Amino acid sequence: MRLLKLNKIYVLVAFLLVIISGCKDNSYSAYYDKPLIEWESYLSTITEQEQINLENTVLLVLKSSECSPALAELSWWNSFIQDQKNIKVKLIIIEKYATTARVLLNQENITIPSYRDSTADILEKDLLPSTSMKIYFDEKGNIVNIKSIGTTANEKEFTDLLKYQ
Amino acid sequence: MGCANKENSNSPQLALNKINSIVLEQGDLLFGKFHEHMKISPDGEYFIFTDRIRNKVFVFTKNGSFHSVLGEGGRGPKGLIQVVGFDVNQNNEVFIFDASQRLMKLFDLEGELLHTVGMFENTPFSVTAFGMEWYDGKVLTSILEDEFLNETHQSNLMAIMNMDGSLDTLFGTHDPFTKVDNQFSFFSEIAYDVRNNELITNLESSPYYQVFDMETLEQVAYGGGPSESYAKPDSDVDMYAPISVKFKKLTDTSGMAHIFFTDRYIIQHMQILTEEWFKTTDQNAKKNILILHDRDTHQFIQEIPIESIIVGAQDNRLYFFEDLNPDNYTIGVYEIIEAE
Repeated sequence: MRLLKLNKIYVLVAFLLVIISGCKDNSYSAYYDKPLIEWESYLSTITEQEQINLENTVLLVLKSSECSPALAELSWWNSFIQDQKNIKVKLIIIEKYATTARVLLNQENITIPSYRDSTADILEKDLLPSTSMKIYFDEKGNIVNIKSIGTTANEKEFTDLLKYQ
Repeated sequence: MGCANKENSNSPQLALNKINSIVLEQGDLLFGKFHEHMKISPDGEYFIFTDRIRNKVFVFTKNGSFHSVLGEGGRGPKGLIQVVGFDVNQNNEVFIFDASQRLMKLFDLEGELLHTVGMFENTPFSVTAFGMEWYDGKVLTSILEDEFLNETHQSNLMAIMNMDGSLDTLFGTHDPFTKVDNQFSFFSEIAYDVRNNELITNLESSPYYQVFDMETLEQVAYGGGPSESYAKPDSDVDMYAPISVKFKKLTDTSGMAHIFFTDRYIIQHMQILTEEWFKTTDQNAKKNILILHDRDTHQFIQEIPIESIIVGAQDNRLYFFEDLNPDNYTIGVYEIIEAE
Protein backbone atom coordinates (compact mmCIF):
# COMPACT_ATOMS: atom_id res chain seq x y z
CA MET A 1 0.00 0.00 0.00
CA ARG A 2 2.94 2.23 0.59
CA LEU A 3 3.48 4.09 -2.63
CA LEU A 4 5.95 6.69 -3.60
CA LYS A 5 4.58 10.14 -3.10
CA LEU A 6 4.84 10.87 -6.77
CA ASN A 7 3.06 7.69 -7.66
CA LYS A 8 0.39 8.38 -5.12
CA ILE A 9 -0.35 11.68 -6.74
CA TYR A 10 -0.76 9.84 -9.98
CA VAL A 11 -3.03 7.30 -8.33
CA LEU A 12 -5.21 10.02 -6.91
CA VAL A 13 -5.53 11.84 -10.18
CA ALA A 14 -5.99 8.58 -12.05
CA PHE A 15 -9.73 8.55 -11.52
CA LEU A 16 -10.12 11.69 -13.56
CA LEU A 17 -7.37 11.01 -16.01
CA VAL A 18 -8.79 7.62 -16.79
CA ILE A 19 -12.04 9.29 -17.74
CA ILE A 20 -10.36 11.96 -19.79
CA SER A 21 -7.94 9.75 -21.62
CA GLY A 22 -8.29 6.42 -23.32
CA CYS A 23 -7.18 3.49 -21.24
CA LYS A 24 -6.99 -0.23 -21.35
CA ASP A 25 -9.75 -2.77 -21.67
CA ASN A 26 -8.67 -6.31 -22.40
CA SER A 27 -11.94 -7.62 -23.81
CA TYR A 28 -11.48 -6.62 -27.43
CA SER A 29 -12.41 -9.93 -29.03
CA ALA A 30 -15.66 -8.73 -30.62
CA TYR A 31 -13.78 -6.01 -32.43
CA TYR A 32 -11.50 -8.40 -34.32
CA ASP A 33 -14.47 -9.54 -36.37
CA LYS A 34 -15.44 -6.16 -37.72
CA PRO A 35 -15.34 -6.51 -41.51
CA LEU A 36 -12.93 -4.33 -43.42
CA ILE A 37 -15.79 -2.80 -45.37
CA GLU A 38 -17.17 -1.26 -42.16
CA TRP A 39 -13.84 0.35 -41.47
CA GLU A 40 -13.46 1.62 -45.00
CA SER A 41 -16.98 2.96 -44.99
CA TYR A 42 -16.26 4.80 -41.75
CA LEU A 43 -13.06 6.28 -43.17
CA SER A 44 -14.87 7.39 -46.29
CA THR A 45 -17.36 9.22 -44.10
CA ILE A 46 -14.82 11.16 -42.09
CA THR A 47 -12.47 11.89 -44.95
CA GLU A 48 -15.05 12.43 -47.69
CA GLN A 49 -12.79 10.30 -49.86
CA GLU A 50 -14.18 7.41 -51.80
CA GLN A 51 -11.83 4.72 -50.58
CA ILE A 52 -9.11 4.45 -47.99
CA ASN A 53 -7.06 1.31 -48.20
CA LEU A 54 -6.33 -0.26 -44.84
CA GLU A 55 -4.53 -3.35 -46.06
CA ASN A 56 -1.20 -3.89 -44.36
CA THR A 57 -1.76 -0.86 -42.20
CA VAL A 58 -1.26 0.12 -38.59
CA LEU A 59 -4.09 2.47 -37.75
CA LEU A 60 -3.59 4.70 -34.73
CA VAL A 61 -6.68 6.21 -33.10
CA LEU A 62 -6.52 8.79 -30.37
CA LYS A 63 -8.17 11.88 -28.99
CA SER A 64 -6.42 15.22 -29.07
CA SER A 65 -6.46 15.36 -25.29
CA GLU A 66 -4.49 12.17 -24.77
CA CYS A 67 -1.87 12.14 -22.05
CA SER A 68 1.89 12.17 -22.60
CA PRO A 69 2.52 8.40 -23.02
CA ALA A 70 0.10 8.26 -25.95
CA LEU A 71 1.78 11.23 -27.59
CA ALA A 72 5.19 9.67 -26.98
CA GLU A 73 4.07 6.56 -28.81
CA LEU A 74 2.72 8.68 -31.62
CA SER A 75 6.18 10.21 -32.01
CA TRP A 76 7.69 6.73 -32.12
CA TRP A 77 5.41 5.69 -34.97
CA ASN A 78 6.19 8.93 -36.74
CA SER A 79 9.89 8.10 -36.68
CA PHE A 80 9.20 4.50 -37.54
CA ILE A 81 7.48 5.23 -40.84
CA GLN A 82 10.37 7.30 -42.13
CA ASP A 83 12.30 4.11 -42.99
CA GLN A 84 9.37 1.73 -43.31
CA LYS A 85 8.44 0.70 -46.82
CA ASN A 86 6.25 -2.35 -46.24
CA ILE A 87 3.74 -1.33 -43.64
CA LYS A 88 1.60 1.78 -43.79
CA VAL A 89 0.75 3.81 -40.72
CA LYS A 90 -2.30 6.07 -40.54
CA LEU A 91 -3.71 8.21 -37.80
CA ILE A 92 -7.22 9.18 -36.76
CA ILE A 93 -7.57 12.05 -34.31
CA ILE A 94 -10.89 12.35 -32.52
CA GLU A 95 -11.28 16.09 -32.15
CA LYS A 96 -14.17 18.44 -32.68
CA TYR A 97 -12.11 21.36 -33.93
CA ALA A 98 -9.91 21.30 -37.03
CA THR A 99 -7.50 23.88 -35.64
CA THR A 100 -6.88 21.90 -32.48
CA ALA A 101 -6.11 18.77 -34.48
CA ARG A 102 -3.83 20.66 -36.85
CA VAL A 103 -1.95 22.37 -34.04
CA LEU A 104 -1.50 19.06 -32.24
CA LEU A 105 0.12 17.55 -35.34
CA ASN A 106 2.33 20.59 -35.83
CA GLN A 107 3.32 20.67 -32.19
CA GLU A 108 4.35 17.02 -32.24
CA ASN A 109 5.87 17.25 -35.75
CA ILE A 110 3.68 14.38 -36.90
CA THR A 111 3.82 13.57 -40.61
CA ILE A 112 1.78 10.34 -40.48
CA PRO A 113 -1.19 10.56 -42.89
CA SER A 114 -3.93 11.82 -40.60
CA TYR A 115 -7.69 12.12 -40.59
CA ARG A 116 -10.01 13.89 -38.16
CA ASP A 117 -13.12 12.32 -36.68
CA SER A 118 -15.01 15.33 -35.40
CA THR A 119 -17.87 13.48 -33.72
CA ALA A 120 -16.25 10.29 -32.39
CA ASP A 121 -18.09 8.40 -35.12
CA ILE A 122 -15.65 5.53 -34.66
CA LEU A 123 -17.09 4.86 -31.21
CA GLU A 124 -20.63 5.50 -32.34
CA LYS A 125 -20.18 2.83 -35.03
CA ASP A 126 -18.64 0.62 -32.34
CA LEU A 127 -15.52 -0.11 -34.35
CA LEU A 128 -13.40 0.19 -31.21
CA PRO A 129 -14.22 -0.23 -27.52
CA SER A 130 -12.45 2.96 -26.49
CA THR A 131 -9.44 5.11 -27.30
CA SER A 132 -6.52 5.45 -27.60
CA MET A 133 -5.84 2.29 -29.62
CA LYS A 134 -3.79 0.89 -32.47
CA ILE A 135 -5.09 -1.68 -34.90
CA TYR A 136 -3.05 -3.73 -37.33
CA PHE A 137 -4.76 -4.82 -40.55
CA ASP A 138 -2.89 -7.53 -42.48
CA GLU A 139 -2.36 -7.61 -46.23
CA LYS A 140 -5.89 -9.00 -46.67
CA GLY A 141 -7.41 -6.33 -44.48
CA ASN A 142 -8.11 -8.63 -41.56
CA ILE A 143 -7.63 -7.24 -38.08
CA VAL A 144 -4.66 -8.99 -36.57
CA ASN A 145 -4.23 -7.11 -33.36
CA ILE A 146 -5.80 -4.36 -31.28
CA LYS A 147 -3.83 -2.74 -28.50
CA SER A 148 -3.87 0.33 -26.36
CA ILE A 149 -1.63 3.21 -27.26
CA GLY A 150 0.63 4.65 -24.65
CA THR A 151 2.03 1.60 -22.94
CA THR A 152 5.28 1.03 -24.78
CA ALA A 153 6.63 2.04 -28.14
CA ASN A 154 9.54 0.09 -29.46
CA GLU A 155 10.55 -2.54 -31.98
CA LYS A 156 9.29 -5.39 -29.82
CA GLU A 157 5.93 -3.72 -29.47
CA PHE A 158 5.78 -3.37 -33.22
CA THR A 159 6.74 -6.99 -33.80
CA ASP A 160 4.16 -8.12 -31.25
CA LEU A 161 1.54 -6.04 -32.96
CA LEU A 162 1.94 -7.98 -36.16
CA LYS A 163 1.26 -11.31 -34.48
CA TYR A 164 -2.16 -12.85 -34.65
CA GLN A 165 -4.01 -12.85 -31.34
CA MET B 1 -29.09 11.94 2.78
CA GLY B 2 -32.38 13.74 3.32
CA CYS B 3 -34.81 15.09 0.80
CA ALA B 4 -33.85 16.93 -2.30
CA ASN B 5 -33.63 20.66 -1.93
CA LYS B 6 -36.74 22.48 -2.98
CA GLU B 7 -36.59 25.88 -4.52
CA ASN B 8 -37.05 28.60 -1.93
CA SER B 9 -40.40 30.11 -2.84
CA ASN B 10 -39.68 33.29 -0.86
CA SER B 11 -36.67 34.16 -2.96
CA PRO B 12 -36.98 36.00 -6.25
CA GLN B 13 -36.06 34.01 -9.32
CA LEU B 14 -32.50 34.61 -10.35
CA ALA B 15 -31.06 34.68 -13.84
CA LEU B 16 -27.78 35.34 -15.58
CA ASN B 17 -27.27 38.61 -17.37
CA LYS B 18 -24.50 38.86 -19.94
CA ILE B 19 -22.13 41.78 -19.46
CA ASN B 20 -19.32 41.09 -21.86
CA SER B 21 -17.87 38.67 -24.35
CA ILE B 22 -14.14 38.23 -24.84
CA VAL B 23 -12.53 36.32 -27.70
CA LEU B 24 -9.06 35.02 -26.89
CA GLU B 25 -6.35 35.73 -29.40
CA GLN B 26 -5.21 32.29 -30.49
CA GLY B 27 -1.94 31.66 -32.19
CA ASP B 28 -0.69 28.41 -33.64
CA LEU B 29 1.18 27.79 -30.39
CA LEU B 30 -2.08 27.20 -28.55
CA PHE B 31 -4.27 24.14 -28.52
CA GLY B 32 -7.31 25.58 -26.88
CA LYS B 33 -7.43 22.45 -24.77
CA PHE B 34 -7.51 24.43 -21.58
CA HIS B 35 -8.32 22.86 -18.26
CA GLU B 36 -11.63 23.94 -16.88
CA HIS B 37 -9.96 26.13 -14.29
CA MET B 38 -9.20 29.76 -14.96
CA LYS B 39 -7.50 32.16 -12.62
CA ILE B 40 -8.14 35.88 -12.80
CA SER B 41 -5.50 38.24 -11.44
CA PRO B 42 -6.76 40.16 -8.38
CA ASP B 43 -6.73 43.42 -10.35
CA GLY B 44 -8.84 41.74 -13.04
CA GLU B 45 -6.32 42.51 -15.78
CA TYR B 46 -5.27 38.97 -16.71
CA PHE B 47 -6.81 35.56 -17.41
CA ILE B 48 -4.59 32.55 -16.76
CA PHE B 49 -5.06 28.94 -17.93
CA THR B 50 -3.16 25.68 -18.21
CA ASP B 51 -3.16 23.73 -21.43
CA ARG B 52 -4.15 20.12 -20.95
CA ILE B 53 -1.48 18.69 -23.21
CA ARG B 54 1.38 21.12 -23.20
CA ASN B 55 1.50 21.56 -19.42
CA LYS B 56 2.31 25.21 -19.61
CA VAL B 57 0.48 28.19 -18.24
CA PHE B 58 -0.91 30.79 -20.65
CA VAL B 59 -1.61 34.40 -19.79
CA PHE B 60 -4.09 36.61 -21.64
CA THR B 61 -5.11 40.17 -20.95
CA LYS B 62 -8.66 40.94 -19.94
CA ASN B 63 -9.32 41.97 -23.53
CA GLY B 64 -8.28 38.56 -24.82
CA SER B 65 -4.85 39.49 -26.16
CA PHE B 66 -2.20 36.84 -25.74
CA HIS B 67 0.32 38.02 -23.14
CA SER B 68 2.82 35.30 -22.25
CA VAL B 69 3.59 31.64 -21.65
CA LEU B 70 4.88 30.58 -18.25
CA GLY B 71 7.15 27.56 -18.23
CA GLU B 72 8.56 25.37 -20.93
CA GLY B 73 8.87 21.68 -21.69
CA GLY B 74 11.41 19.45 -19.97
CA ARG B 75 13.14 19.54 -16.63
CA GLY B 76 15.17 22.74 -16.99
CA PRO B 77 14.85 25.72 -14.67
CA LYS B 78 11.53 26.76 -16.23
CA GLY B 79 10.58 23.19 -17.13
CA LEU B 80 7.11 21.85 -16.34
CA ILE B 81 6.05 18.23 -16.76
CA GLN B 82 2.68 17.91 -15.03
CA VAL B 83 0.94 21.05 -13.86
CA VAL B 84 -1.66 20.26 -11.20
CA GLY B 85 -2.14 23.65 -9.56
CA PHE B 86 -1.43 27.32 -10.05
CA ASP B 87 -2.65 30.69 -8.86
CA VAL B 88 -1.85 34.38 -9.22
CA ASN B 89 -1.52 36.85 -6.33
CA GLN B 90 -1.91 40.62 -5.98
CA ASN B 91 1.73 41.11 -7.04
CA ASN B 92 0.98 39.21 -10.25
CA GLU B 93 3.23 36.36 -9.18
CA VAL B 94 2.09 32.94 -10.36
CA PHE B 95 2.99 29.78 -8.51
CA ILE B 96 2.83 26.58 -10.54
CA PHE B 97 3.01 23.18 -8.87
CA ASP B 98 4.53 20.45 -11.00
CA ALA B 99 3.50 17.10 -9.50
CA SER B 100 5.90 15.15 -11.67
CA GLN B 101 8.95 17.02 -10.41
CA ARG B 102 7.40 17.86 -7.04
CA LEU B 103 8.50 21.42 -7.57
CA MET B 104 6.73 24.68 -6.89
CA LYS B 105 7.88 27.30 -9.40
CA LEU B 106 7.16 30.99 -9.06
CA PHE B 107 6.92 33.12 -12.20
CA ASP B 108 6.08 36.69 -12.99
CA LEU B 109 3.57 37.40 -15.70
CA GLU B 110 6.32 38.04 -18.23
CA GLY B 111 7.43 34.43 -17.87
CA GLU B 112 10.51 35.07 -15.73
CA LEU B 113 11.25 32.39 -13.16
CA LEU B 114 11.48 33.96 -9.70
CA HIS B 115 11.84 31.01 -7.39
CA THR B 116 11.83 27.21 -7.32
CA VAL B 117 11.33 25.01 -4.28
CA GLY B 118 10.68 21.34 -3.65
CA MET B 119 7.24 20.77 -2.15
CA PHE B 120 5.26 17.79 -0.82
CA GLU B 121 8.40 15.64 -0.86
CA ASN B 122 8.23 14.10 2.60
CA THR B 123 4.74 14.94 3.71
CA PRO B 124 2.44 12.26 5.17
CA PHE B 125 -0.30 13.18 2.73
CA SER B 126 -1.02 13.54 -0.97
CA VAL B 127 -2.27 16.53 -2.88
CA THR B 128 -5.83 16.04 -4.10
CA ALA B 129 -6.59 19.33 -5.78
CA PHE B 130 -6.39 20.63 -9.27
CA GLY B 131 -7.18 23.96 -7.69
CA MET B 132 -4.54 25.40 -5.40
CA GLU B 133 -4.74 28.94 -4.10
CA TRP B 134 -2.54 31.63 -2.67
CA TYR B 135 -3.24 32.27 0.99
CA ASP B 136 -1.41 35.05 2.80
CA GLY B 137 1.86 34.43 0.92
CA LYS B 138 1.46 30.68 1.31
CA VAL B 139 -0.18 27.93 -0.71
CA LEU B 140 -3.51 26.39 0.15
CA THR B 141 -4.36 22.95 -1.19
CA SER B 142 -6.64 20.05 -0.38
CA ILE B 143 -4.95 16.85 0.70
CA LEU B 144 -5.55 13.29 1.82
CA GLU B 145 -3.51 11.88 4.68
CA ASP B 146 -1.75 8.60 3.94
CA GLU B 147 -3.10 6.81 6.97
CA PHE B 148 -6.71 7.56 6.02
CA LEU B 149 -6.61 6.46 2.41
CA ASN B 150 -9.44 4.01 3.14
CA GLU B 151 -11.20 6.14 5.75
CA THR B 152 -11.25 9.43 3.96
CA HIS B 153 -13.71 11.10 6.32
CA GLN B 154 -11.12 10.96 9.10
CA SER B 155 -8.42 12.72 7.14
CA ASN B 156 -7.50 16.36 7.38
CA LEU B 157 -8.79 18.18 4.32
CA MET B 158 -6.49 21.12 3.78
CA ALA B 159 -2.80 21.96 4.00
CA ILE B 160 -1.17 25.37 4.16
CA MET B 161 2.33 25.19 2.69
CA ASN B 162 5.05 27.77 3.18
CA MET B 163 6.88 28.99 0.11
CA ASP B 164 10.10 27.43 1.42
CA GLY B 165 8.39 24.06 0.87
CA SER B 166 7.67 23.35 4.52
CA LEU B 167 4.28 22.47 5.94
CA ASP B 168 2.62 25.27 7.88
CA THR B 169 -0.48 23.50 9.11
CA LEU B 170 -3.21 20.98 8.37
CA PHE B 171 -6.85 21.66 9.11
CA GLY B 172 -10.43 20.64 8.36
CA THR B 173 -11.74 17.16 7.71
CA HIS B 174 -13.07 15.58 4.56
CA ASP B 175 -16.77 15.85 3.84
CA PRO B 176 -18.74 13.22 5.85
CA PHE B 177 -20.38 12.41 2.52
CA THR B 178 -17.31 10.26 1.83
CA LYS B 179 -18.88 7.65 4.12
CA VAL B 180 -21.72 7.12 1.63
CA ASP B 181 -19.90 8.17 -1.51
CA ASN B 182 -19.99 5.39 -4.09
CA GLN B 183 -17.51 7.16 -6.38
CA PHE B 184 -14.81 7.14 -3.69
CA SER B 185 -13.51 10.51 -4.74
CA PHE B 186 -10.67 12.30 -2.97
CA PHE B 187 -10.84 15.54 -4.89
CA SER B 188 -12.17 18.77 -3.51
CA GLU B 189 -12.74 22.01 -5.32
CA ILE B 190 -11.72 25.05 -3.30
CA ALA B 191 -12.40 28.78 -3.36
CA TYR B 192 -10.69 31.20 -1.00
CA ASP B 193 -12.46 34.49 -0.29
CA VAL B 194 -9.75 36.98 0.70
CA ARG B 195 -12.21 39.70 1.66
CA ASN B 196 -14.08 37.57 4.19
CA ASN B 197 -11.10 35.33 4.98
CA GLU B 198 -13.22 32.26 4.31
CA LEU B 199 -12.46 29.07 2.45
CA ILE B 200 -15.20 27.13 0.67
CA THR B 201 -14.58 23.51 -0.31
CA ASN B 202 -16.65 20.96 -2.23
CA LEU B 203 -15.81 17.30 -2.69
CA GLU B 204 -16.31 16.67 -6.40
CA SER B 205 -18.75 13.79 -5.85
CA SER B 206 -20.68 15.48 -3.02
CA PRO B 207 -23.68 17.81 -3.17
CA TYR B 208 -22.49 19.40 0.07
CA TYR B 209 -19.95 22.16 0.66
CA GLN B 210 -17.97 23.26 3.70
CA VAL B 211 -17.03 26.77 4.76
CA PHE B 212 -14.00 27.43 6.96
CA ASP B 213 -13.08 30.55 8.89
CA MET B 214 -9.41 31.01 8.01
CA GLU B 215 -8.75 32.92 11.24
CA THR B 216 -9.67 29.96 13.42
CA LEU B 217 -9.39 27.25 10.73
CA GLU B 218 -12.71 25.93 12.00
CA GLN B 219 -15.65 24.81 9.88
CA VAL B 220 -18.37 27.46 10.20
CA ALA B 221 -20.92 26.05 7.76
CA TYR B 222 -21.89 22.80 6.05
CA GLY B 223 -24.28 23.65 3.26
CA GLY B 224 -25.74 22.35 0.04
CA GLY B 225 -27.37 18.97 -0.38
CA PRO B 226 -28.91 17.02 -3.24
CA SER B 227 -30.80 19.37 -5.53
CA GLU B 228 -33.31 18.32 -8.14
CA SER B 229 -30.80 17.42 -10.84
CA TYR B 230 -28.29 15.72 -8.59
CA ALA B 231 -27.80 12.01 -9.31
CA LYS B 232 -25.42 9.50 -7.77
CA PRO B 233 -24.35 6.33 -9.54
CA ASP B 234 -26.71 3.45 -8.76
CA SER B 235 -23.90 1.28 -7.47
CA ASP B 236 -20.27 1.55 -6.43
CA VAL B 237 -17.86 2.83 -9.04
CA ASP B 238 -14.62 0.93 -8.81
CA MET B 239 -11.88 3.24 -9.97
CA TYR B 240 -9.87 0.25 -11.20
CA ALA B 241 -12.74 -1.19 -13.25
CA PRO B 242 -12.49 -1.25 -17.06
CA ILE B 243 -13.15 2.13 -18.52
CA SER B 244 -16.25 0.93 -20.37
CA VAL B 245 -17.80 -0.26 -17.11
CA LYS B 246 -17.00 3.02 -15.45
CA PHE B 247 -18.49 5.00 -18.32
CA LYS B 248 -21.72 3.09 -18.08
CA LYS B 249 -22.06 3.69 -14.35
CA LEU B 250 -21.18 7.36 -14.52
CA THR B 251 -23.36 8.36 -17.48
CA ASP B 252 -26.15 10.68 -16.33
CA THR B 253 -24.61 11.09 -12.86
CA SER B 254 -23.45 14.31 -11.26
CA GLY B 255 -20.12 15.75 -10.27
CA MET B 256 -19.22 19.08 -8.80
CA ALA B 257 -16.75 20.72 -11.13
CA HIS B 258 -16.28 24.00 -9.28
CA ILE B 259 -17.29 25.99 -6.23
CA PHE B 260 -17.52 29.78 -6.47
CA PHE B 261 -18.78 32.68 -4.42
CA THR B 262 -20.09 36.19 -4.89
CA ASP B 263 -21.00 38.67 -2.18
CA ARG B 264 -24.49 37.18 -1.98
CA TYR B 265 -24.22 33.61 -3.19
CA ILE B 266 -22.28 30.40 -2.93
CA ILE B 267 -22.40 28.75 -6.33
CA GLN B 268 -21.85 25.07 -7.00
CA HIS B 269 -21.12 24.13 -10.58
CA MET B 270 -22.59 20.71 -11.16
CA GLN B 271 -21.92 18.72 -14.30
CA ILE B 272 -23.93 15.74 -15.46
CA LEU B 273 -21.84 13.35 -17.46
CA THR B 274 -23.12 12.29 -20.86
CA GLU B 275 -22.30 9.55 -23.30
CA GLU B 276 -21.26 12.13 -25.85
CA TRP B 277 -18.70 13.57 -23.46
CA PHE B 278 -17.22 10.17 -22.71
CA LYS B 279 -16.73 9.64 -26.42
CA THR B 280 -15.46 13.04 -27.43
CA THR B 281 -14.19 14.72 -24.24
CA ASP B 282 -15.85 17.83 -25.62
CA GLN B 283 -16.42 19.77 -22.40
CA ASN B 284 -19.57 21.41 -23.65
CA ALA B 285 -21.10 17.97 -24.18
CA LYS B 286 -21.70 17.74 -20.44
CA LYS B 287 -24.85 19.16 -18.92
CA ASN B 288 -23.95 22.13 -16.76
CA ILE B 289 -26.01 23.48 -13.88
CA LEU B 290 -25.37 26.24 -11.37
CA ILE B 291 -26.73 25.64 -7.87
CA LEU B 292 -27.15 28.84 -5.90
CA HIS B 293 -27.19 29.13 -2.12
CA ASP B 294 -27.59 32.18 0.07
CA ARG B 295 -24.16 33.27 1.24
CA ASP B 296 -25.34 34.17 4.76
CA THR B 297 -28.00 31.56 5.55
CA HIS B 298 -26.70 28.79 3.26
CA GLN B 299 -30.27 28.19 2.20
CA PHE B 300 -30.70 26.64 -1.22
CA ILE B 301 -32.08 29.17 -3.71
CA GLN B 302 -32.34 27.55 -7.13
CA GLU B 303 -30.71 25.67 -9.95
CA ILE B 304 -29.83 27.51 -13.14
CA PRO B 305 -29.12 25.30 -16.19
CA ILE B 306 -26.34 26.77 -18.30
CA GLU B 307 -25.20 26.09 -21.83
CA SER B 308 -21.46 26.25 -21.23
CA ILE B 309 -18.81 25.77 -18.58
CA ILE B 310 -18.32 28.26 -15.80
CA VAL B 311 -14.61 28.58 -15.08
CA GLY B 312 -14.19 31.57 -12.81
CA ALA B 313 -15.86 34.10 -10.54
CA GLN B 314 -14.49 37.35 -9.25
CA ASP B 315 -16.00 40.64 -8.04
CA ASN B 316 -19.53 39.30 -8.52
CA ARG B 317 -18.89 38.40 -12.14
CA LEU B 318 -19.05 34.89 -13.52
CA TYR B 319 -16.85 33.75 -16.38
CA PHE B 320 -17.87 31.03 -18.83
CA PHE B 321 -16.07 29.22 -21.65
CA GLU B 322 -18.75 29.78 -24.27
CA ASP B 323 -16.95 28.67 -27.40
CA LEU B 324 -14.09 26.20 -27.18
CA ASN B 325 -13.23 26.43 -30.86
CA PRO B 326 -9.62 27.65 -30.98
CA ASP B 327 -10.55 29.92 -33.86
CA ASN B 328 -13.09 31.72 -31.74
CA TYR B 329 -12.26 30.92 -28.13
CA THR B 330 -14.82 32.97 -26.23
CA ILE B 331 -15.24 33.87 -22.58
CA GLY B 332 -18.66 35.16 -21.59
CA VAL B 333 -18.91 37.42 -18.54
CA TYR B 334 -22.17 37.39 -16.58
CA GLU B 335 -23.75 38.74 -13.43
CA ILE B 336 -26.58 37.27 -11.39
CA ILE B 337 -29.73 39.34 -11.46
CA GLU B 338 -33.28 38.99 -10.22
CA ALA B 339 -35.43 37.84 -13.11
CA GLU B 340 -38.38 40.03 -14.05
